[in-house]
Amino acid sequence: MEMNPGSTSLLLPLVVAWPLLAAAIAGVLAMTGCSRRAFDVFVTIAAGLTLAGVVALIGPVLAESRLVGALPLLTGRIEFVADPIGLTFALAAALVWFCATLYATAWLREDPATVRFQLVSLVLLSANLGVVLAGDLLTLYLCFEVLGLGALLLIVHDGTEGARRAGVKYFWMTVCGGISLLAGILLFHALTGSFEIAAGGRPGSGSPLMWWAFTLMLIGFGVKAGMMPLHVWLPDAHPVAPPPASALLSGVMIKVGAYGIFRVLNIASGGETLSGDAFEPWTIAADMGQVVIWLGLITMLFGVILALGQQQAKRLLAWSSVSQMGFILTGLGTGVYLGGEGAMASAGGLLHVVNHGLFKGALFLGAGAVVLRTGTADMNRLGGLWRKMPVTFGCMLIAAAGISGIPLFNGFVSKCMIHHGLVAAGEQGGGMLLAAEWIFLLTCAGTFACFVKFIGLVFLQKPGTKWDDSVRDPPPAMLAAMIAMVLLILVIGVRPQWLLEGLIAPGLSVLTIPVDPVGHFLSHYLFSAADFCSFAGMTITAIALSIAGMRFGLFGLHAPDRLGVDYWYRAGGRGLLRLCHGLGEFSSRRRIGIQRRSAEALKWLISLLERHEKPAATDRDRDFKRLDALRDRVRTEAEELARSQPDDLSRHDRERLVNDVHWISGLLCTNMIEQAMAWFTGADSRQAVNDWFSAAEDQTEALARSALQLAVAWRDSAEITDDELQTSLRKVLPPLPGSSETDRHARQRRWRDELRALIFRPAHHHWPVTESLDRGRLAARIRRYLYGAAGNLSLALGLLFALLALMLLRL
Amino acid sequence: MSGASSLSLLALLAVLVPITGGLLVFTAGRWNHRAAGLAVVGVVSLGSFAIVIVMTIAMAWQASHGLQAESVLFTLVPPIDIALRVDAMGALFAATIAALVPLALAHAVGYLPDDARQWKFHGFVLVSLGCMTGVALSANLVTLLLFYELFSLLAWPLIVHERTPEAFRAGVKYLVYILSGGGMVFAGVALVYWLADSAQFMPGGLLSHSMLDELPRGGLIAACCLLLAGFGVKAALMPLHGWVPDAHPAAPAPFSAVLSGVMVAVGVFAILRVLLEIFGPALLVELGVLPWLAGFAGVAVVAAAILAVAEDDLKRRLAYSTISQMAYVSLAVTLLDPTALAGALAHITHHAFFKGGLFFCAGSILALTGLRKISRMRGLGRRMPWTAGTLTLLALAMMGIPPLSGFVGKWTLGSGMAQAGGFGHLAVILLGSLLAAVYLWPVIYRIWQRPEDGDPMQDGPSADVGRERRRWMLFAVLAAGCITIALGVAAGLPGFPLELARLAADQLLGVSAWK
Repeated sequence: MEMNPGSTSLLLPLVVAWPLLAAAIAGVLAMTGCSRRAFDVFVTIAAGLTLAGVVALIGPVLAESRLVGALPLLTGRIEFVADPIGLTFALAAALVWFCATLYATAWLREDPATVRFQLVSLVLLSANLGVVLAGDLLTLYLCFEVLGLGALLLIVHDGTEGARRAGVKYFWMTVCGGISLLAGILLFHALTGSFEIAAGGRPGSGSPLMWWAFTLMLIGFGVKAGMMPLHVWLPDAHPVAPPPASALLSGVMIKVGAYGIFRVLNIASGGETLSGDAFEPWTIAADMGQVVIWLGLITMLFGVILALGQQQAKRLLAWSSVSQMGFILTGLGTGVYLGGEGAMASAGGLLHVVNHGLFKGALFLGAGAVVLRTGTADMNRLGGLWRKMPVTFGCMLIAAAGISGIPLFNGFVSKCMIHHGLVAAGEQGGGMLLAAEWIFLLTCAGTFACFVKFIGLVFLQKPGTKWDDSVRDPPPAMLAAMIAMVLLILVIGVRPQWLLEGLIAPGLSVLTIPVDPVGHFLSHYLFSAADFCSFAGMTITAIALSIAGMRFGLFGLHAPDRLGVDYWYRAGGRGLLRLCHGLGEFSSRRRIGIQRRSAEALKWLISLLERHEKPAATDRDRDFKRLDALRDRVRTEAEELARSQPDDLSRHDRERLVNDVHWISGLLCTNMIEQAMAWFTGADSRQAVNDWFSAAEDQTEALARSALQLAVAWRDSAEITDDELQTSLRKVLPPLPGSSETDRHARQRRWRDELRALIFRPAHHHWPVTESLDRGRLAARIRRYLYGAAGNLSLALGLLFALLALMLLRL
Repeated sequence: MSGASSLSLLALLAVLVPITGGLLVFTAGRWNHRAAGLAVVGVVSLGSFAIVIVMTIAMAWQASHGLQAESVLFTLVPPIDIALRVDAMGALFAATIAALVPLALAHAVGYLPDDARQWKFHGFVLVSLGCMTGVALSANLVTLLLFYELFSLLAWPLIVHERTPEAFRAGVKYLVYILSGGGMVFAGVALVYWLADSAQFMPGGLLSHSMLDELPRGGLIAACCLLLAGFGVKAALMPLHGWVPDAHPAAPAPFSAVLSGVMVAVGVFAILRVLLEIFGPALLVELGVLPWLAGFAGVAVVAAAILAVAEDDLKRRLAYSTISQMAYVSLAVTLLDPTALAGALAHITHHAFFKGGLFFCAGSILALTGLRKISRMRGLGRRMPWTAGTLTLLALAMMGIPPLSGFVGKWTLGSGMAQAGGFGHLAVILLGSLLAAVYLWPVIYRIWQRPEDGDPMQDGPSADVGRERRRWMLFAVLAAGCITIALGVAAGLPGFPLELARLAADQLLGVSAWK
């Protein structure tokens, strides 16, 4: 087919940027205090204009086959490219968004956070369009991340505990998925040299890097798409969001993941760049397709099994979304696996994207209407609503028929196409793929049964409580939104050609995939016997399943927690946190231990310097030790006295008092020690010394009390003089004969010993360090800090020097 | 060469104006006249910013015409002169510093109590600004050493400004580390002189230009290790990062912002200069030093992030985060790839603003509510909505969410690493990003939770902060937020950091970074 390098269009970036602009305008409107009605009308019109813009793009895109546009942003320009496939996704998005916005204006009637909801919704519309219309991987990543994080605000909108928990889980899955996607994109860039989506570049030589790039991108998109085993956020997040947000999440935002996977698979399967050069498929393209097929099959099967067991309406719909995403992935994977013959399956998958958006959107909106009127989503308590809410019931019935794949509704078309694709894949691949078809049919049956249950329990069964008159059809805005979607379901079901041959087939041919099978299928799909047989078989299985389930209570079974990946993700997250906290504690404890040991080593080193200092007479050392013990006792008693003061003091003041007392008692006692030691030097007999000691040891309490008095006096005056200290001492202690002379000696010795004590801290010394008001204390503190810091650094330096030595030795 | 001489004049002014202005503010502070003091501080800081911007534009113009500018200030001993030079990387750094410091001073006007001591703070910060600009614009190792030592010492009075015992402890630790590091740098510079008779920064590496065979390999490796270790202390390269987690909570918040945003970055800047313009890419590959540096940096990215998760004090958490983010740059330079280097340089600038902004927020929270610990910040979003909102925005920027500034640096960095085949490096970077989310998300979540009754809301006394001071702090916070958004959304515009960074990578590695 003749390829056209994309022609530039202004409409394209405008359509993507318009919802953003509208959000800004709406924000300004809300802040300047316009009426609710005006705000609602503006927001709805904005969504409608977006839809109109996307529809207007259809014509040019089909004519030119590719449109290109750009906006100056980020590291240069962000590129947009619209080809028919992207436009299909964009159309589905704009449609569902318009209906959801309309619905939300009625749902958010009494909600105080309406403005926030609608603004975020518009920004997300812009981001969504940006992803599906992205021209290069940077743009795609940018919009993808904004979409992911913005959706968080919608999920936690209600602010309930369950909403917050679901939001946290969603946030972590999104962040991990985003990082994985970034890694994949960067690897892809390293492989192919370009960021363009429409360019594949050199495929590389089958290096393991290709698998890495593909796997990382698959994980990144798969988290968004709700692919197993990365789906764990979906069943929690979709039910707790307000129903219009659930419709958007389930109907549109998870499709973005499928879009990304589709593009990746597409690049891998070869094609043509924008400028017309052909590029070869990756050698692993078919294998990639097979991986996606199997992941899709697992997702669809387990999704539907878990959906069958749900009791809450919205959770059932959420699990059903997981399952239907499996359908889409299976279709896309089969399309790539079959290569040139994969048009049918790809088209089926793409059509299912639109279909699912419509019917799941309608189902969520309807469930929302039920919750609005009855106040509960618990299916066991609902029932009998077909009479009370007839229009809602009609819409739900049609949507359920769509999702179950009943002929004349849209689901039938897409499911048939995927079925055909799977059959062809089974024929081509053999082996395990032959079973794929049966898994598919089983899942279809399961889906049917699931929605029989849904409609039956919510609308048809006999209700437990009698519904009063408030249970009626929802307000007209909601009804209009639902009816619009349902009409489209019918239209696509009866006339699928309009979408298939109008947009999807041209899109696939732009990607150089021959689309004749699709046309062939469309021309007689309603008359195909094989399809009807499959449908009949599926229906019978479904009915059997439903009966079996209800009779044997299979629907109430719950698998143990540990079987599900959710448990293991949570355990992993908790384990990581515990590891971090444990490492942090370990590091600080080790640091302190090592610090202490290094400080002691330093002290030991320094003490080596003064080995020559011989200890003086043992007597004096003993005396000093005794005096020291005396000092400690006085200090402790003074502290206790201060603490037991009458409590008209604030906590702060009391702490200050205790500190002051501690310090002053120390000062007092140091003075006492100096004088005593000076006297002991010249003492005549040991007996006199011992007598003095026994007398002094009785006076500790009095000393403590005078320390307290001095502290209280100090608080009021500015300083403590030496004379005050001496007076207090003389008042309390037994007299030391000959004090005045030894005082002078002691004072002279004080400076010298202080200096020495500043540099060294000898283990034995008999002259204490004076705690004079500003110098000694500061010196002691600095010395302590120095040891601490040096000890701290010494480990690091030691390590470094060891490594340096290693390196030098290595030469 | 009038263009060159005007550029060198601008460089000289960019260094001298803040220094003299700072000294002026410091000495005139004793008169404690608030309006006049604020006017002088504003004029000096904004004037320096204007000078640096003009200088950057002139440099870009000259670079496109192939001219270089160097001005010799004075000569110590004949071969050793103090010279300034304006090249792309230096201009980028000088612009970052000159842009962040006025914001920090604005925040300080609100944060510090209104007494005579605030002028000491402002004076010291302005003189540090001048010295850091001198480091950025230095033309040889001796000039760099001179200005580096000066501003390292000047940081001490700023760290202990609040005069709490915790601050003194942190200050002593900082001094011990920095003086040891300075000693190692001095030894390294001396070795370089012995090896090459000069310490000039030359594109392609000074030592590469000398005869490689004649130079003793042991001497080269020793010089490299000494310089890396010495600058690595300032650059918070593990295991020499010990001063960072203590200094940041102890310093007043505006200076913590400057510490994290630019001071640690200056250490990284010095490492880059040494590696690329003293040793040169070819010599580095030959010596085999780069895998070691990559190992240390990689461990730092992950280990610092893990330790950040374990911290409850907000400023300590942010300090560990700085260690982790700055290690990205060291990791990037080991690949010698121009795109990766450009991304790393842009990341430094962007990081300065969002980390600075985060510290501004932390400071505002501390000043207005007395809260330090994250576990007690429940419901803060309702009490201080603007600060909490900006904190959320800046945290998202740090996590690398497009279209904010953190993403731009990471994207360029990552694509450069992937292209150069450094997949291990890429994996480390992405793990660092994931851990950034792990340690930032609890802050965001806690702030926006609903406050419950009986929540302990106090960690310490909150100052009685008046309306005017609150406005200054809020202004700084919001300005940081707006700059982060602007740098992200408009990153590709000419004159923005990304472009300058690409130019710088061009010049440093001699290969085009325009990919």
